[in-house]
Amino acid sequence: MLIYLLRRFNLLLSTLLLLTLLAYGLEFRLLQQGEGDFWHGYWRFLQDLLAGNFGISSATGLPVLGALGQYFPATLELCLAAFVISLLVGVPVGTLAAVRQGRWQDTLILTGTLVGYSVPVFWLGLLLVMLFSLHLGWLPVSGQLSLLYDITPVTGIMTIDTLLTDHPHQWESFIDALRHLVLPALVLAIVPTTEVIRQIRSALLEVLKQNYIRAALTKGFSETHVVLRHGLRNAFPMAIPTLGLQFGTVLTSAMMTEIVFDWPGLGRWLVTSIALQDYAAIKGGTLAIATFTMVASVGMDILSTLIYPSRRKAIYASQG
Amino acid sequence: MRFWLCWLTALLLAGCDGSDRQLAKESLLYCAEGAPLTFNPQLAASTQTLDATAHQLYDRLLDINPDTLQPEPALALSWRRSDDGLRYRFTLRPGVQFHHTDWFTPTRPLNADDVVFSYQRLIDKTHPYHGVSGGHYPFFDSIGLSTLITEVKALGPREVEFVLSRPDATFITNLATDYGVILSAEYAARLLAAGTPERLDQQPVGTGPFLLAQYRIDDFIRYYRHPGYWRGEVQLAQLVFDITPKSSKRLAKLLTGECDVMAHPGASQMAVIKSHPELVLDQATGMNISVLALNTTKAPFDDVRVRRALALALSRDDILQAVYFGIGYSAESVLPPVSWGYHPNLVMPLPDTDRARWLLAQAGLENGFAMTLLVPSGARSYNPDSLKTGQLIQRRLGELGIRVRLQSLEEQILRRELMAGQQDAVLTGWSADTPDPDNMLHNLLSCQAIATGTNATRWCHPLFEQQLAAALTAPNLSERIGYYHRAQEIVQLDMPLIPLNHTLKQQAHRQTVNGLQLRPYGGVALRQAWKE
Repeated sequence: MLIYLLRRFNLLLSTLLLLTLLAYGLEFRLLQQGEGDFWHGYWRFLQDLLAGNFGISSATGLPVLGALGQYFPATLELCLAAFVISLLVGVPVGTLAAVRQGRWQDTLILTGTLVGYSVPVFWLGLLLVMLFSLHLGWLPVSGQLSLLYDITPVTGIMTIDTLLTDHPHQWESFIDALRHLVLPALVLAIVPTTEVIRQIRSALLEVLKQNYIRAALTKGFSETHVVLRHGLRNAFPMAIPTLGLQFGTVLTSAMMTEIVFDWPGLGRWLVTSIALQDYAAIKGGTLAIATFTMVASVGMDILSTLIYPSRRKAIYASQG
Repeated sequence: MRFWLCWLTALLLAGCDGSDRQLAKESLLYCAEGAPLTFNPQLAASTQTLDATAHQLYDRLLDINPDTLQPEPALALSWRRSDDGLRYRFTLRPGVQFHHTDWFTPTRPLNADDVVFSYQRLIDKTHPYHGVSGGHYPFFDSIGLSTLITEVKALGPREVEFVLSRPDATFITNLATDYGVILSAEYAARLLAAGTPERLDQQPVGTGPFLLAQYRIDDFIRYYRHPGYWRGEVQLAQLVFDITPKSSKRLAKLLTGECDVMAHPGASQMAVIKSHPELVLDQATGMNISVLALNTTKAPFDDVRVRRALALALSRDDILQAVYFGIGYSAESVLPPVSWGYHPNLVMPLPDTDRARWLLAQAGLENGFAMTLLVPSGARSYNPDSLKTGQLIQRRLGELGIRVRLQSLEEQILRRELMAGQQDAVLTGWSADTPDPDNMLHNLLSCQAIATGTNATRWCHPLFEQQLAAALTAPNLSERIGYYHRAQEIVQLDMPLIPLNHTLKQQAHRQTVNGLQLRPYGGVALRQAWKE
């Protein structure tokens, strides 16, 4: 296990180093901001990064690290909400598709995932805003929380902050934060949901072919019982690593979702920084997003190995 | 499960309860089109900055009465002008309180030191605050305040005297502009001692109806009511500027009630606004102009024949229809017809491609040339869609073989470019700060305004300067009008910029909002606003 963990960390570290090298290389060549010797400059650049010094934003005059700390939680909140939705919807729907393989339900679900996968995020966002906000008036158009509520950020995740606050309108603000979260999280959840459905479906189909499933069925257990108790439990470990990779896709879609819904997260901040030619912010933001994607993906991998030791054996076997 | 689902849905869709309604009633959400560049209007000439700061956070010595257009007392109770017009003495209002904020607690009310500090900073290059936050004061620099005022001194705790180098008919109205704000000298001294003077312009302390509570960059500004405001209690407990650059999004928010007031609705949105009975559209004659400013120090725009050719190629009516949707009128001069200095006999030439081509050939450019046109991104108070205007210009000039490359820039970047002065041409304009014609002519075309970036043509014409200077010292109004007419004639002849269109000033709000004022000049004032 230790060797496996070390290998993962090694991979993470070397990729991160490569990333910083790329970032510094761009700065050195294109912006001519680097000084003197390349490797000497790179070493100082690394030291700065490790010390949390991401530079000063030319647009605000404030440290980039502070802005990262301010905007990142909002992005995280959105991504987590989308991830939860995709699991809540994707797992049962994927299971249904596997159980009803080849029948009309399966065809319908597969068609649905294809449509969901191909719909552009910003277009879907605008459609939902037109329907739920402008036409029906149920949900707000944009933002993270109604600006009526003066909530001091603690974690930066509004649904948590509104519960932590001692604002006289604590409960109303919490509901308001939830209402703001619904549309962007739904839009962002579309792509990972289709992926969860497809992964769960194919993993479950694989498992359902196994002998122990047939044995359980012949023992007289109901189909539902067998699928839930034996099928899903064994299908999950196969699906989880690919789901972990979804973090990257979710984060990319989050950028667009944030722009459509004016969500005060990293994506919108990055786009504004690009418009303002704020290079320090662009560099800091890109590095932060890339790092987060990699850490999340490797973390998910490690987690699944910890939970399902059988996967570890499979890895060792495949790596010889 | 079903119960919980129903409960959650009901919860999400539920309206607000009583206490929430009270909060909504005492708060005004103003959807602004852009973020302020600073919290001190002395430092910027952008409409967004003036809207967000000038009348919410600060007061001036005098205000201009929106009905009579005459100056009236504000922080100064009264003022006297010496017979030679060189000395102005102001008596200050007693007991005016500064904001108590998280970052500063004032120990005294406003006095003469604050007035002296606020103006000394602008005119005295050796003042410790002069260079802070960039050291550029676009409006006051462009009117040459530092050469006009030779001295500002406190004669007593409530008496201030301004000594001028020459009589100036616009002096009083200029003090009453959005830029003439009074800052706290005590706060400034505290910051200087702490080594953080630039905070004066970022964490403001003023005497205005609202105090700054929170600013999230490019996102929102939260103000609270100033409890000790000298004009009496402000109705709104909270004022929030929601920075929403896209006008479609501002309108969407206005429709869903996430905004109470929407700044600068697009001309194409008028029909939607009028079709919703819960919305109200305010319109006022605007003292503004949108122009195509040509850099007269750069070839080929240093040739008047080229500038005239460009003017002949453009169709201002096309722009008016396509960009302004007919809400506004084509400009015939730099000044709008509502200005008392407007020259009624000037007309811009009608579009004439043949003559334009002939003029270009005269200048040796029969095959045309390539140029870059800078356009500000987003809406401006004088131009709802600069990019679209640019595209129309691009197509028209293309017919003459002039290849126009459009470059859309954010306000901050654009300002930097204009200060550097390397541009070919830029789509810009001006919204008047005062009813005085000097305000527009000076800022758009005077030599002084080149350094401040507001004169994007970099045109410096001695005869034109003479007219402006003479108008300031003219003994009566009819003579002043004469000078301004001649100034406009010079502009028409030399054509450093091509006047395009004037537009109406517009603002939309929900019917529950009362007490809004839409003034023809300057930024918005929300002091008297209240909600039903």
